[in-house]
Amino acid sequence: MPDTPFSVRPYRLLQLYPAGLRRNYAAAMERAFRDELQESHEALLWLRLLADLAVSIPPQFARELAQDTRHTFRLWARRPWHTGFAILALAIGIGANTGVFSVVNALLLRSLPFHNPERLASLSYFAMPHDSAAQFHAWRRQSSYLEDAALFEQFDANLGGAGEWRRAHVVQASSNFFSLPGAQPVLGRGFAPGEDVDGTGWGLPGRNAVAVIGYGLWQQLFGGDRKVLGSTIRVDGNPLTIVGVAPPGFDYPGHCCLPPSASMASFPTRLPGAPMKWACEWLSASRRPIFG
Amino acid sequence: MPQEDQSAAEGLTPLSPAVFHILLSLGEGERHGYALRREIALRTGGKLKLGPGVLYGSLDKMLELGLIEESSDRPDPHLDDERRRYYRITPYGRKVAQAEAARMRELVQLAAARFGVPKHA
Repeated sequence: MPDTPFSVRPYRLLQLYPAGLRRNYAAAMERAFRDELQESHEALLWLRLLADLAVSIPPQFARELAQDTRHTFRLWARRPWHTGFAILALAIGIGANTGVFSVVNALLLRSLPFHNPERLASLSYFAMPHDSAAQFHAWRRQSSYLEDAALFEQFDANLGGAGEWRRAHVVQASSNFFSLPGAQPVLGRGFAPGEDVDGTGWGLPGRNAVAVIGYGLWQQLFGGDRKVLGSTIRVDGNPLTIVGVAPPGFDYPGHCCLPPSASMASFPTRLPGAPMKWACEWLSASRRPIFG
Repeated sequence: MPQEDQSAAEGLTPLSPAVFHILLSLGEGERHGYALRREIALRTGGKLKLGPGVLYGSLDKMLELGLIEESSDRPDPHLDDERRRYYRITPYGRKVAQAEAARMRELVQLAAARFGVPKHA
């Protein structure tokens, strides 16, 4: 509009109003503005206009929203089957998207809460020397392909503490289970080198009958109480002293972690630069003298 | 006044100053938007100057509530802009204005009893 005077052009702020009001009153409002422009000082007029916009736009949108909402609910009530199917389709769509995103987020976007996660590997059905804790630790230290290795075994057990019993997922692990992936307990400590238990026992009270509990269990069973350290938790009736709380997001242990000797799986890290294939080949070769 | 209309009219009170002043002006006869604005500013000594947004927003709301209606009567096009839209008060609008006036009268009576009313207020 090249012939529009400068003073009138900014009145295109009318575009900020809801379409319904604009359709009915834009011409009248612009006319009123032009009339007023002839009577008032321009700067004062603009100040009043901006104040008017600030005061009148929110109620207009609120009114339009209320009208649309009422109209929507009337339509829904008139066609309950269509509404039901639409809500169901939306629920399925949102649920599916959420599920897919959760998987993508966990697998692709978020890295594991471990130090150098790309150098971690999990080996199942592989038995390394584990007749005693000393034998296992000697084996992992002399490895030239693996930087380090830890053992863990998972099972479900009856867990009791603070007067409440529950079925919980438990992991027995070697004493370097937390130090290997660089996981720092949020409270207390991980396992000390001398706390491994030989055989299938639960350790000696006051020496190595110790446990680190998961963050979720700490919140649920102990209400996040920081005095949990030193208290006793029972795993299948065996008393263990809690020495630490695993960080949130650290999925091992699911609920509780105990230092063990027996193992079903290893948790090795490769040496920097050693390809995974070489490490696996070396592990295959090292099995022979053990089982041969 | 039937009981239903009376309670519906009272349900709309208290009115905003803009809506009540518009009803007051339209009670005298048909007006277009800009004339309403000028009349209200004159009546209030310039204390209430309705901006276009508040004025036409209020008119739109009042049309929706049935307090006013658009008038199809137009003055001679030579005397006025034919694009102007004229409004007039409806019978329901009068009842609402009466209900608001009654509410304000009760309030004024209460204030007068409590504090007294100065002669030249």
